[in-house]
Amino acid sequence: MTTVVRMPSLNANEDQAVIVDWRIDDGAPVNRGEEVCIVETTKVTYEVVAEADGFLRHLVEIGQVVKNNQSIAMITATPDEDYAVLLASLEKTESVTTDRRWTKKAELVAKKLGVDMSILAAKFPDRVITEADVLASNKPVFEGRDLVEDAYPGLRPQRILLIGAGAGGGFVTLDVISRVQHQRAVGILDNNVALHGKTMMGVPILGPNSMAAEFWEKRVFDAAIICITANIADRAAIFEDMRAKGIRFANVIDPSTIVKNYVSMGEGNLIMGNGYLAPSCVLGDNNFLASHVCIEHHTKVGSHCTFGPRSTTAGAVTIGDRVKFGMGVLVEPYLAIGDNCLIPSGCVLTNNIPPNSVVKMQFSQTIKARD
Amino acid sequence: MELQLGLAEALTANEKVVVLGEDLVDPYGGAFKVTKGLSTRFPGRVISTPICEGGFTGVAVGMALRGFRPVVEIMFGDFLTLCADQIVNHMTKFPGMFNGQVKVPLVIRTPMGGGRGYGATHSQSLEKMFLGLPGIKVVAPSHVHAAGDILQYAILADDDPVLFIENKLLYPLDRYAHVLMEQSAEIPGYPTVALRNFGSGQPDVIVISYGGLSRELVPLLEKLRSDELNVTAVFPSSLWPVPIKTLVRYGAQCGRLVICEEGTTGFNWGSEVAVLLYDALRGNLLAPITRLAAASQVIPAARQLEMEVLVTAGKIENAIWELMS
Repeated sequence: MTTVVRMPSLNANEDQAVIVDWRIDDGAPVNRGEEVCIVETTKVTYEVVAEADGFLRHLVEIGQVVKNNQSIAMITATPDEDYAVLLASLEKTESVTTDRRWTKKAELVAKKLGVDMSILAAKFPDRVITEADVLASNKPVFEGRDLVEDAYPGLRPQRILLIGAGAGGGFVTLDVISRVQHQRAVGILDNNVALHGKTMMGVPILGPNSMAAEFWEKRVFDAAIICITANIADRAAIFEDMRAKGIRFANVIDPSTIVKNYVSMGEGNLIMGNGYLAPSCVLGDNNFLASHVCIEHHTKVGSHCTFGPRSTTAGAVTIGDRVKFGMGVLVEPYLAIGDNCLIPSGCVLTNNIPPNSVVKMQFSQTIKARD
Repeated sequence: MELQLGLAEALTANEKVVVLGEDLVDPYGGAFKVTKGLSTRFPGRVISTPICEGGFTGVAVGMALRGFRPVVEIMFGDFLTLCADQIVNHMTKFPGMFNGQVKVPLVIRTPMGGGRGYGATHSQSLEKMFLGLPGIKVVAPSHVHAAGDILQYAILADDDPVLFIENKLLYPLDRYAHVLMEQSAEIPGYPTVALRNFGSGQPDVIVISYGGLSRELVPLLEKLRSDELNVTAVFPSSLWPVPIKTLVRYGAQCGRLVICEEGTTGFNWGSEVAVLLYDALRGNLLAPITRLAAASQVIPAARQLEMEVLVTAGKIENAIWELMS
């Protein structure tokens, strides 16, 4: 057991005193209560008394000025006991240095922003972390969206590849996509070689329709849409071919078209502005609805049909596949129209139409010069 | 020593200046040695008095009425109670009672403050007992002020009684000067000094304090700088009257204020300053004003216990971080 003898605090006005005399020699035995040394302030001399039995080991010399509470001697159990470790530990506690890893301001800001200081400290092991470091670490991280190789696009817009889009159908489709938040046109394919390398509304025309499979493999787009509106046979063939290769199709719908409750549709449907899809109507795949088309409630439309502007079906009409409607066609309720029919503009259908029919209109329109 | 020089220059500038108090004459030169050497340099004008604060303060009031500019030293501020009658009922009343026909140009110098283990009756900061008293100025420079110049002004230029509070712990310190210090003179002769620990930008916190707490705040500002906290410490040298326009100007720089003082809490300087600031800064404060003062109890003699009662840099720092979070 080693006991430390310290300089007593003797005077409110002084924080130090002088060792005037040692009463016990260095290494000599000492008894508890015995005078060890004399210290002196400007006002008094004072006898420091041993608090334990043992051997006195001097740490300071006569004449030395010592701060209050500083150790002046050790009392050890044996005359040659090593007190170096204890002395070192005393000196260590007297000069405690805290190893700061960050400023308090940085800690405060980190707490407010929810930044983990230990991660920051590990990032910059050589220096104190500052407020600026915390603020910098809190900046939202932007990564190139197109670099993400995920099968599930999540929050990013669906990337649309336009097929056969070199003409008017492509232009109106791009216009629709430009008006929605959830889709983005990434490229156009068209078999017209003269268009390759050009852009339409800022979107590049990349090559022929056959390149779709390659781009699909490379995950350049998430879904395709066919913009051919005039030739139903082409439209249907491309759709079936691409779908056989695993390519997915998008439904591209102008935001001004109203889609009511319980509407169901497949994929690849391209629907222009101001349309109306009534509750419980059903669309198959790959249909094209021009502007102002109205499909009333409980009407069923097959696949690969095209509807000219302002075509309207009444409720509960059944329409087959690959039916082409002109402009302004009106269909009475409960009628059935078979596959592959051709309905001319301005026609009001009042009877069922068998498959593979062409409806002919009896016009009596006379045009003559004005008087 | 700034105060000694200030006294010497005042004694030199005007032969009507006299200094009265206990144990002032050489070789002792006063309990805190402020007048050391002055009785030798100015024979007959630095006078050691009997131990009778009420008596020699009364003598000084009479001398002031008859054209002298006396300086009274009260050995410890705690003893102001012994001359309180002269202060409250006489020197501050005469100019008004005699309709401005007499003046009492008198300075009472006295040391206040703890931190030296002097115990309950030699460690107090009793200036708050005289704050708000009509007809007197209460002045308490910090070591950021040119205390000697302020003392000279009080002696030579101020025709009102001035209670001049010194702080025991500031006596051995040199005046602290820094490039980031500015001074405003809302109250002529008694400047307010603002010290900031940042070069450019806005303060996060304004600390308003006076007197001996500059000794705690100057190193604290340095420490807070290493923690990136922008702090401006504002030290009025005039406690009463309060240089409120200056304090409001600093307070408006940021909505977080800490007022700290060494005296005890309860009906204290910080209360009045806080109310004045609340009136002026309505709606501009980000948090309620934090006030720090000594605990409402006897000041112990033991150093560690004394520190628990008094306001320390550590307590101020804690209050600042609490205000920030």
